[in-house]
Amino acid sequence: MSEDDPTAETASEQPGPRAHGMRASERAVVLVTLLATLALCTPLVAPAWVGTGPFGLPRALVWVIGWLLAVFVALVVDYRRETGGIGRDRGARGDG
Amino acid sequence: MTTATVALATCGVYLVATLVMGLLPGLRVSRSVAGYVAADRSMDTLVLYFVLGASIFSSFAFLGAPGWAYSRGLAALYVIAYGILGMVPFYFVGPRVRRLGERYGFVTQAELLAHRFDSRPLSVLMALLSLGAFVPYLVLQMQGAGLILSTLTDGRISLAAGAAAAYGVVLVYVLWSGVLGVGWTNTFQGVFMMAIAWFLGLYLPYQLHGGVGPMFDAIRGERPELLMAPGLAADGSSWTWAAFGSSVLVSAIGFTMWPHLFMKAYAARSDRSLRLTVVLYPTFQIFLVPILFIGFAGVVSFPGVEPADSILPHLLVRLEVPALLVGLVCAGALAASMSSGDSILHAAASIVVRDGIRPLSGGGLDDRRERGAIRVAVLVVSLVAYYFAVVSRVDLVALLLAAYGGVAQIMPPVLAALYWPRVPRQAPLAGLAAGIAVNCLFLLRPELKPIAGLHEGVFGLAANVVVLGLVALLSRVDERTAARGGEYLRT
Repeated sequence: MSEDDPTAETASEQPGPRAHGMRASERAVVLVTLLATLALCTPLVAPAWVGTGPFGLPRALVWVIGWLLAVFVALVVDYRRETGGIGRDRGARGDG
Repeated sequence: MTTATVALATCGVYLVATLVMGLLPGLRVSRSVAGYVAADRSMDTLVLYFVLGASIFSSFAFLGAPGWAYSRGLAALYVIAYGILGMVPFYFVGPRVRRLGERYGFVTQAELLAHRFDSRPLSVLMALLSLGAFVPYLVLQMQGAGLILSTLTDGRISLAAGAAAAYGVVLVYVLWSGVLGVGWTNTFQGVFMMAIAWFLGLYLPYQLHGGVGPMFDAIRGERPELLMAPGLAADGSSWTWAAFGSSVLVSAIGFTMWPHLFMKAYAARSDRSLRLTVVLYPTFQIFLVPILFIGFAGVVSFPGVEPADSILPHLLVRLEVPALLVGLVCAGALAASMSSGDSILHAAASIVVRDGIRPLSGGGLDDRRERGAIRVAVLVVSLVAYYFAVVSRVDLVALLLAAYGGVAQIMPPVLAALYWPRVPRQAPLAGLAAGIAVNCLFLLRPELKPIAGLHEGVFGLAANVVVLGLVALLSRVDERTAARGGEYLRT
């Protein structure tokens, strides 16, 4: 697969400035995961879990899928920020 | 031809296809320990995605998750919740672990910790913990496979013969191809399971209720308590948020730390392939949504099915679906069992030799002998598991639940190894021992828990972190350990 181009790898994996800090998008991944943890593990959002959501699905299920997609999007954004995009050989390496 | 014959033939075709998929990769992997255990560090995103996904989705997920939805309603969402959270730490930890593996030649989880803290007892303790967690897990997969073939043939194929047939196939390709065989069969099995799950998850609600929305409307009318978060406990009472939340947390941490998954970081070709796998991983979780629909589909139409885990076969029989579909579903369930079992079997054997026998033998095994020893261990572990699967009557589910809490205890030492250079060598061992002890105590004596309902793994983790932290703060770290910690942090 193109993302595994070993030539690109050497350049992209040198521990750069971010090795001891986090990019903004990495922090976003952590933040979204923590929010997902709160939402999925505590009764804080219990009222929002009651009733029916779109397509007749239970709202709780919609919330769980929503958090799943939020974590997915946060990971995609950070991955794009680091590598330039899914399926591309090499992109800009931001360090936030 | 009868339904059973067609279904059995379908399962046979699936087993032959799996065997071929498992044997082919063995032709191109090196005959070394790194080749057998870490696929010469060559796995790309496609294979990693399915290895990590299919390894976790066992026969318990394929048959147990619909059972949870059927009997406990929204409590079943905890499976999706921990799956979402469980992979995220790997996004940060995984690439660093991969680089360390490449640099120092690690192929198991314990090797990293034992090297970082220069501790042989830590390696042996981790090997014992891993084996204690793996064997019941593997036994349950074997029993699941045996049960499927036995049920399908009305007992003409016994549970023992069914398990032997399915795991005979697993044994052949694991012995021949090692982790690369596991990887490619998991890819095949993952695609197969996803297709079956989506088809059934949509077909059954439409067949029984006219759609997914109407299905939930019907449940809301007849069994509204099933749709009240966080669902029901096993005894039918309301589950507590403490139990739901702590189960999600402990399972998520355990998920990241399962040794057979953690070891796949060493098999990744690059940081990019590993990170991309984690990025894409939530899409595999979506596969659980139709699995839950299968269970919800039976709530109103077929109340009172016991045990709840049999709701999927019950629906297939009662709805008189075509024989080919029955066969495909049984093959899907076999795929779920084998895709977890092969990965566990391979990892368990590798750990026995690398973390148990090798350190105790003073490192006296050359590469060829070590690879041979791992293959012998594959045979021994599978025979032990097979014995328990067909003979023993030990309560394996209880053992497996205990294992999850135990595996979660690996997280603090791993984080300390990677991110805290000034941890002395004795701290992780002390923390791990305390965590396992507290976990076992509250598992055996739940009435002693300070907060009722909370998962015992949470108390174990608290003890683990406190002991590790206290020992780290109160002890002097020697310069060699500190230097190695700095090296790990910079990698």
